[in-house]
Amino acid sequence: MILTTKWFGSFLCEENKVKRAALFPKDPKEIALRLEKIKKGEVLDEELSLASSARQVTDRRLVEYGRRVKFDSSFIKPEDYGFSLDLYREATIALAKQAVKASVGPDVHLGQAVRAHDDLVSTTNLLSERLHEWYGLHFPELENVLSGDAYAKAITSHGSRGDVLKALNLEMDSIGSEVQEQDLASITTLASAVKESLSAREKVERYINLRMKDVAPNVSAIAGPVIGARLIMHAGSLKRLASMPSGTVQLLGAEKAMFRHLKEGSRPPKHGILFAHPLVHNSPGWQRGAVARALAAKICMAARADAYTGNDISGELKAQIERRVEEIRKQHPNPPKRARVRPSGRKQKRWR
Amino acid sequence: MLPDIAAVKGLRSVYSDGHTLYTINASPGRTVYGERLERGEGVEFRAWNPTRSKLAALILLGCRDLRLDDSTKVLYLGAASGTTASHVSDIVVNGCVFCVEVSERSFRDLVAVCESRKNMIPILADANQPEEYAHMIEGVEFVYQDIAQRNQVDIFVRNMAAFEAEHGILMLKSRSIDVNRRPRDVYSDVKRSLSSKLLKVREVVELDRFAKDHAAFVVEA
Ligand SMILES: C[S@@+](CC[C@H](N)C(=O)[O-])C[C@H]1O[C@@H](n2cnc3c(N)ncnc32)[C@H](O)[C@@H]1O
Repeated sequence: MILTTKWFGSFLCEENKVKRAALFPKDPKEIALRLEKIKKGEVLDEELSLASSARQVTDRRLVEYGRRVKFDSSFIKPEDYGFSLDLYREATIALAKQAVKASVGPDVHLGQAVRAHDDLVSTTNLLSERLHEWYGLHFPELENVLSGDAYAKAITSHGSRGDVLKALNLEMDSIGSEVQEQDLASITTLASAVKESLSAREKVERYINLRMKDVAPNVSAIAGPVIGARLIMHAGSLKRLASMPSGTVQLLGAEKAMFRHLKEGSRPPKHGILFAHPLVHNSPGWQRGAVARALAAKICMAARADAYTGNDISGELKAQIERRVEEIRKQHPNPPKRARVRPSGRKQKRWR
Repeated sequence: MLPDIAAVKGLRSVYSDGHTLYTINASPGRTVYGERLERGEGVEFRAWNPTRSKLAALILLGCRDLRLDDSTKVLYLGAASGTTASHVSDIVVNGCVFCVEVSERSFRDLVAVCESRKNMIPILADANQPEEYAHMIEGVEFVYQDIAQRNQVDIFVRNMAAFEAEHGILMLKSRSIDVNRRPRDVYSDVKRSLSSKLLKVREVVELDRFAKDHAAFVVEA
């Protein structure tokens, strides 16, 4: 006899007749529970109660109990057993809600954190450019002395050119113009905003770092926490990253350039997200492709370890990468002849 | 003032005021994607936007041979957040729409739509693996597929076969099969490979006016 399971019960059939049935309870929650078990590949009690008389089965989950066959079970109709579409719909919605709830895993939060990080980076850049321009009316030379957080901090704590110089123990002439108290007050407000968004960015980075140690410690060690999290976000999940070929990982985030290459025959991209990795962007242009390739290969291995075994292999991987990068530097010390080397690609304008 | 909304000739449960298509809202008072609602006599109409839904585009472009009636059971592959699936659910009011979607992000919205409709069943699964959701599907007669994947034709063929559906519509995105080839060449290849799988292609409609480089394949087993 053939053992098959439908959403409302398990059935033993012979020649398109049901010989025995083990129906599910007529309760959406109970049905959802069983659908969930089937999804996980588990065997149901209802199936076990019928399994001893089965010769053949229809489902991969049940191969222990018989040979697997294709079987059209459409003659077993839910309404013949008193199960309605409404009941089924309630069950599937209960199941769906569970799946959706379960799906907010740590990768989802990491993805959001990476996006927040990027938003903060561009906000900071925007505000900071404005601050330099505005405060620069009064004291353009300050940006030669201080940058980043220190620049904004000097303005919030000391304000005017005179006071800043006093605090820094400096004396210099300035070509900037004088400002009034109320102008300065407004500039200081902007400077505090810059400081705030810088510190928010750092906090998010710390959070990403911490979460990555949990979720994907090997990837985090090889790619760096933010780049690692970005790769996971682009891949969709750690599992998906782990299942990707390394060529795909190398080009994650370069989809647009790849598309342009296919469509318009522009040069193929050599790296996507990985460009931001110091090993790649600190390499001279002609070595970058090879370095990115090597890095991607190791990141794949790191992702597999994180997703499946949980072993810490970051030490070995790091050593292998360093060796490989050294080889690349030795093999290609000089730019290839006649190949046009662009003056080092796009300039990174970001704070990293 | 009531607009003059009348049934589209040759189609069941699809309406038009001469410009816009409508279906009768099976979940009165609610919109799914911000579409306009119109009161009719004893019913509420839901405007059906052809730029958001390729099935509406197909109808506006003249296809009348849909084989969907009020009790058809439909397997909908690639339901996303339920835009088109909800109109199908309006059309097959006494039937059922089994909505398969693989992306958890879209699935979240889809579940919310299914909750407010009596005949929509949400299934979080990969359409590449019909055996994984076969036990959740009952008596499907029609397969509707809108999945922008490289192997979309293969997915369609395997689902038509697995559920022994009699009719189907494949919404094909030429660019996900090959960006470099002319869409028309892709379409004729697809037509050939559907026929080789014993599916009869009744109509191929290019949807460019509403969805660039897309075509609808109206198919019979
Ligand atoms: C173009 S959208 C569909 C839009 C929808 N049919 C509508 O008109 O409202 C394609 C959908 O197919 C889904 N998809 C892609 N591959 C899939 C697969 N293998 N199985 C199920 N769904 C898939 C995507 O997640 C996406 O939501």
